[in-house]
Amino acid sequence: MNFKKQFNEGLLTKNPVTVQLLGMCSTLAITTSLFNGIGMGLAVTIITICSNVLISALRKVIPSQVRIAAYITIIAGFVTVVDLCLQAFLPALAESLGVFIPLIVVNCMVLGRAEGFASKNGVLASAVDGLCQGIGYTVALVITCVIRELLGSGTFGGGLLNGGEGIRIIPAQFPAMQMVMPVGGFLVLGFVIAGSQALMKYLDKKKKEGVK
Amino acid sequence: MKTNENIVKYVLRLALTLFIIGAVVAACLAGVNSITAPAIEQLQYEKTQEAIQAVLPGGGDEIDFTDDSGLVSVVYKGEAGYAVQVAPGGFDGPITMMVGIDFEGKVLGISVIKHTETAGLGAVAAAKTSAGEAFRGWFVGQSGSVAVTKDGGSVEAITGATITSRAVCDGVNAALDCVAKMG
Amino acid sequence: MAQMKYYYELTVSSSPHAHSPVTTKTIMRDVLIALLPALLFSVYNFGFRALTVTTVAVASCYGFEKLWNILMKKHDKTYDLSACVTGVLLAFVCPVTVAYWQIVLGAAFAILLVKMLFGGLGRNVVNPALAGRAFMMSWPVAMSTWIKAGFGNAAAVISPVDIATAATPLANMHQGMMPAESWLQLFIGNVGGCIGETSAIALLIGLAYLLFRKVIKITIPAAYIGTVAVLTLLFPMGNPGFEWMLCHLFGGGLMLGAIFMATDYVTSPLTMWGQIIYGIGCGALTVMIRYFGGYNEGVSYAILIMNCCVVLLDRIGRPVKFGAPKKEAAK
Repeated sequence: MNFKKQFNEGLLTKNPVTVQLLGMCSTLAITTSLFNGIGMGLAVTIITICSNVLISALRKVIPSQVRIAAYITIIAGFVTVVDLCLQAFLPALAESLGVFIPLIVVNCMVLGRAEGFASKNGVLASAVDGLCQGIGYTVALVITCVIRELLGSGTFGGGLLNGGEGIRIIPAQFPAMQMVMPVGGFLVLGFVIAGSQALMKYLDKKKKEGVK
Repeated sequence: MKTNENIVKYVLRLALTLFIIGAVVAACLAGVNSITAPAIEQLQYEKTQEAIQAVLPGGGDEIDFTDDSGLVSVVYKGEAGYAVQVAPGGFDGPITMMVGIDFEGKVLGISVIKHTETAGLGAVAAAKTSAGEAFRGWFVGQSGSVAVTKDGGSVEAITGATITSRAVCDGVNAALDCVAKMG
Repeated sequence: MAQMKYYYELTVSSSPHAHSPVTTKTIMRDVLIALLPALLFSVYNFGFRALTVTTVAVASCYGFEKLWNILMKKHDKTYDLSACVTGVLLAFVCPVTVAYWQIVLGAAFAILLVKMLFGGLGRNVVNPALAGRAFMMSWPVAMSTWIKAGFGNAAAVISPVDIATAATPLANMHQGMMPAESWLQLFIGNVGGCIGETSAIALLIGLAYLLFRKVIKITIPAAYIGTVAVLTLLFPMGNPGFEWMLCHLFGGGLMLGAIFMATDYVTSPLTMWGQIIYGIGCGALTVMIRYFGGYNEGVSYAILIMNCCVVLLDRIGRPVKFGAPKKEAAK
């Protein structure tokens, strides 16, 4: 097990959002305020860790012919637990994420990690993988959120800071509303992906120069 | 070649594994639900009460009602009057809102609970901004029936969102009619 | 590296080595000339702010393209005037009360994101000016405030709070009512609306000039306007039906869109059948958005949607290769 490699993959080189392009539905839909991004990211991280651990523990018990059905049942169970807990204890977040919490069941990232990693690796490694991929997902979401919120609403930390209003950075008449509409989601995601590619290229180049 | 017995065993194993996983997950969910259900119910009750309080000082309790418009979903009666929950069709789906009306048939205030109007235009009707408060303020003290200025009424429509403004008027009218029938 | 810069000019190609006086620059200059009558009318209709808004749009489009070329170290082709055409068209589809910073941001979106990011002129998928307008719907109140037409009203433009606003003909028609103005008034253009869209006659003069100079063919405008005419005549929402049709043709941005935007070389099909289907598609979508959509006007979105279909429409009616069997060429 190589924690550093897994972390690097989750955060950058195999980032679920910017490289694997998984879980696009929630990424594009909810990234309109910092609160949403952090909340969604944490919910998905917790669910990925839990489902990874359980699926890894059961990987020798579950027959491969019915594995997808079994995985989805387990994932759906965890998602429903998280959904109920959010509704009961964090109603503000549950309301703002709405239908996208139950939709984590079909978030390809969770099933992707179950099928691609947890079903082939040990419990501890799977837990670490869930954590790293979850962090990568959260970071990508939060970056998209911050950009969209700043350009579209002119605030920072909406739903979290300043009593939920967010700290106003751009006066209210200037922000471009389209950036918090669906079209802004696609635009900003494109630039975030381009940015992560540029960063990877830069790091590669630096590494090669270091070797020389 | 598998014998018949083997095939039966194999299918049973698949079914049993799935069944056990499903049963365990269901049991866990039942456990979680028993913890969270009361909390969720309590929160929903508080939220409804808050919405009633916003338009009807002192709150109120649910009563029976008759409604011809088909827009009224619940009516609450309190010491200051009625709070009527209506859901007129807006620009993009229903606008769920609460209308407070006193015993003389005058609007005490309106508040939008849930909507899917366009951000920046129709959404102003629900916004906690000065423009939103100004729009909702037009309804306070009105009685009989209301309409936007374009339709000959006294409510100044939201800029660029006449349809939303008309829908809110429809909702208020339905609430006023409903209360008028109570006598 | 210095030699590399002019490398492309030394490309040797096979014959024929024909030289044509028609270049991108001459075409764009003709388009600009064709837009002049509408610009002059807009100044008469809305006052001098129409001119300053257009100037700001042109200057910022030109400036952003130049800036991009300098920053990205690309060969600067701003002399081809295509950015100026985008600028004029962007201003023409905005209300005269639009703020200068809004139109500068709209120009930035149109030029940087829609045009240059895809590789510059000839490679953009959708019409930059219309995409810029779609982006400027970010400020919905500013983009749907219409002042009353008339030169005198223009003085009030400096303090946009006190302007006399009026419902545009399209807003009335969206509600299923005949507009307050007669169709003749709409034809001349003495009504509220976007800067360059109000006067059908001025735009038709532009069309005549473009046809005379052979810059565009009549195919797309005819298919587009014809479809709108047929659909609104068959399904009128106001009486009398013929006048209803004329109001749909001359009110709103149909003429501007059909003549100057749907005919954009880059974002329209090349083959005749492709162009006809493209025009019919634009017309049908325009009427559908005007009848059933949330917005009063559907021209800009209709053209943007059909722009995205051009890559498919270009496969229709390709000329058969000389000597090739007919079936194969159709593929």
